[in-house]
Amino acid sequence: MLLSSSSAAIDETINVSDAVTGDGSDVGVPYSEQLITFTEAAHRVDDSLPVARENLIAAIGEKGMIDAAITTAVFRSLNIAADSSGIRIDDEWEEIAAHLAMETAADEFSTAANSPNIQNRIHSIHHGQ
Amino acid sequence: MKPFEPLQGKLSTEIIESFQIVWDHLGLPGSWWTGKERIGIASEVRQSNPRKLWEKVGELENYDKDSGEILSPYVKAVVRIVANETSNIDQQIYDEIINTIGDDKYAELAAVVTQVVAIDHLCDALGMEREPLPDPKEGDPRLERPGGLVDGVAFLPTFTADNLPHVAVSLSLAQADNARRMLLVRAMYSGSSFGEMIWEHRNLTRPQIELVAARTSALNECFY
Repeated sequence: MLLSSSSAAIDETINVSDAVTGDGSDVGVPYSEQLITFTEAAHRVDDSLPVARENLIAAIGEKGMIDAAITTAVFRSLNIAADSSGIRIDDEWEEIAAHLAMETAADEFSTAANSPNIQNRIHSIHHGQ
Repeated sequence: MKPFEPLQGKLSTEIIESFQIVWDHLGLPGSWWTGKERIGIASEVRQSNPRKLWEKVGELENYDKDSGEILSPYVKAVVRIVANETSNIDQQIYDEIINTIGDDKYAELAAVVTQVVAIDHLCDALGMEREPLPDPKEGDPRLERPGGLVDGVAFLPTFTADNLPHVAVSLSLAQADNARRMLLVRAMYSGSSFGEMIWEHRNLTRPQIELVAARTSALNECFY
């Protein structure tokens, strides 16, 4: 949601589906391929991480790489807070969340069950209600 | 040398100070766990991260609920589910855990996990050594449960969200640890600019930040 909103604020058009599931080549955010490769490697913490780190530094500098590392770390923590507690999507985000879920297939995640209103909205959208 | 000083020069003072505040409290008695138990939870997070693909906790009912250890095998299994298999936690698993250890202990356990993961995962991503865990301090848990909790936001009872995102109050049953968790979030993510779509306080643009955030959440299969 905030990816779309923040991109619109600087007149960038982004491909949310590529951001969430693709290789990043068509996202529409500068250096998205290197950022996604680094994010994936940092998630796995495997042998690919040092190379992904160096490639990101070559693209956007060390401070940018550190910012990406900070972000993936804090969002892993936020994801744990969200799904260990079972929070539902906030009321004011339901409409856009339903559209983004349809675009990215995120409604197939098991944690979508924590927000039943989104499934209802998706059903309504499919049936033109 | 104070904890996290090797990160000075790489991270902002606000981030390092937020890490030090977390470390100062990690080994102290909490609301429902002793200092030794809290460090036991942190140790279990560390020992299970990074998770090997073939490692699955499986059915919680298969784990012993009592032992002579600081944490029972059951509690260790809950820590590993929260840390590494969070998206598998549904109402049924939540109910199983709550019926065994209670919601106060579960909320504090999860809040401790979130703090250790945020800090350790950053060190891992940067290729730096993890900070040694602090020594536990003696003392009894305070047995505090905050008032004013509501149902309907999460499986867990929470404070009312008011104008905050639900994730901000998600673990508010563990009030003090949730506050420290949100201190990390403020330092590592939004600063005071969450509502602003153009950020000046980060080295990446906000769309670049949100790209990394969206991909991380997808990898963790977090719908929220």
